[in-house]
Amino acid sequence: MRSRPDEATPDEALIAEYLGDRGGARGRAALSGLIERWSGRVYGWAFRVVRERESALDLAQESLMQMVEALPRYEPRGKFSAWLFVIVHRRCLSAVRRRSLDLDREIDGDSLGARGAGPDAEHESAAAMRRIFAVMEQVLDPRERAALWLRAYEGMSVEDITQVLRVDGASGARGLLQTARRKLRAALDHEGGS
Amino acid sequence: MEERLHAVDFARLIALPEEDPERRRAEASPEFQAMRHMLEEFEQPAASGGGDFDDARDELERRLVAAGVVDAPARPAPDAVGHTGGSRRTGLLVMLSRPATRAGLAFAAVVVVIAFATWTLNFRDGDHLMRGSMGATEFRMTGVREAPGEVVLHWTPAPQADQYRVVFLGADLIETSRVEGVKDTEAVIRAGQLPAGLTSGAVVSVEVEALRGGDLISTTPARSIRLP
Repeated sequence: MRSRPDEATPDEALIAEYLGDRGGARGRAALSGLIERWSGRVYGWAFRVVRERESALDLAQESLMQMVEALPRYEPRGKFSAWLFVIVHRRCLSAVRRRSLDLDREIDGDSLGARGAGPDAEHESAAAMRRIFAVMEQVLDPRERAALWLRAYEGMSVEDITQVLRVDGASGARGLLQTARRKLRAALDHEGGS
Repeated sequence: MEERLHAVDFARLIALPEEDPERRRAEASPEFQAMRHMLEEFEQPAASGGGDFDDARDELERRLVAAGVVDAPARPAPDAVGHTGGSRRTGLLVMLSRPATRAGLAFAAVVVVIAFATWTLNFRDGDHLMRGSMGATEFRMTGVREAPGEVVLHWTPAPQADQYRVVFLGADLIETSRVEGVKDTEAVIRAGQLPAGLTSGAVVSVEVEALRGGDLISTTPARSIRLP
């Protein structure tokens, strides 16, 4: 009977045990424990991004398999959940890349980049992007920045942004996004006119 | 888009105390802010599920067992942030540990493999997209040949794909470069002609995406290569 990882065992300890005994019973048990600990969240996030069960299952499976491959390069001084999350989220974004990189047309057909280099963020020049980021930092508060980033660059729905940022009020994140976009546009207009 | 926050960096920064100067600088970045909020959500399993969340999670476990990533016998579902999987999950794990259930799962896995093989052999020009777990496991790289000055990648053909895309990933699995419009099932990466963003001698992960009409239909598991 295979030994079972202690529920209180930290992620980093399970990783160390796996890396120290790859192919062995203890290592496999540690890896299984780690995956079982996080697989539900990985699937949940994939489902949230792609909104479809089979695709979410594919992405969750692929993400976890990539995680296993990348574990030897994991740096234990970081936070494992954050490392895993970036892997999962970027993988999901790749699956919906075109949709996720469309800038915010839903609000009123306008977008962050519309003023600069067109609606497709993939073709934004690095200089234009840096300029927009700089203005964002100057004129938007942290929640507005996060909301705009989530919408424009992470492809997140307004409803999900409302939940992730825990926005109160009937309009949810929509109002926050509208305010952020209005402030950003005014700042960019002012900068362009000066 | 360039200059995305890398997984290793984000993991390190988020582990720093909030008063740490480096963490405070990071907090000024809209991307860091967004990632931090999303991470908090990611760590809350109850808020992330769909309607069939438990069934899907069980299906994911079956896939990972079939792929040989985890072992079939039941293991505990330890939770790093204080949540449990609930009694239904515990019951499932107990059930999975029974020899009869394990034998049943093994039989089911064989049936699935045979069904997929049959589907593949009979596949013609239909409207099916290559999706699902089998798509992920069958479309794969078959070889990486490293020769002086070049690396040659080979992969299996994906049904219905009209072109492929070779995607290069950094150590944190974030895309660093890509080669579009590959028509054949191989790609030659030559020193001196590396795609933008790649450095000669660097070790990167690479995966191949199969596309039809510009839509992604399948992705190979990633392999590590040393760039020429």
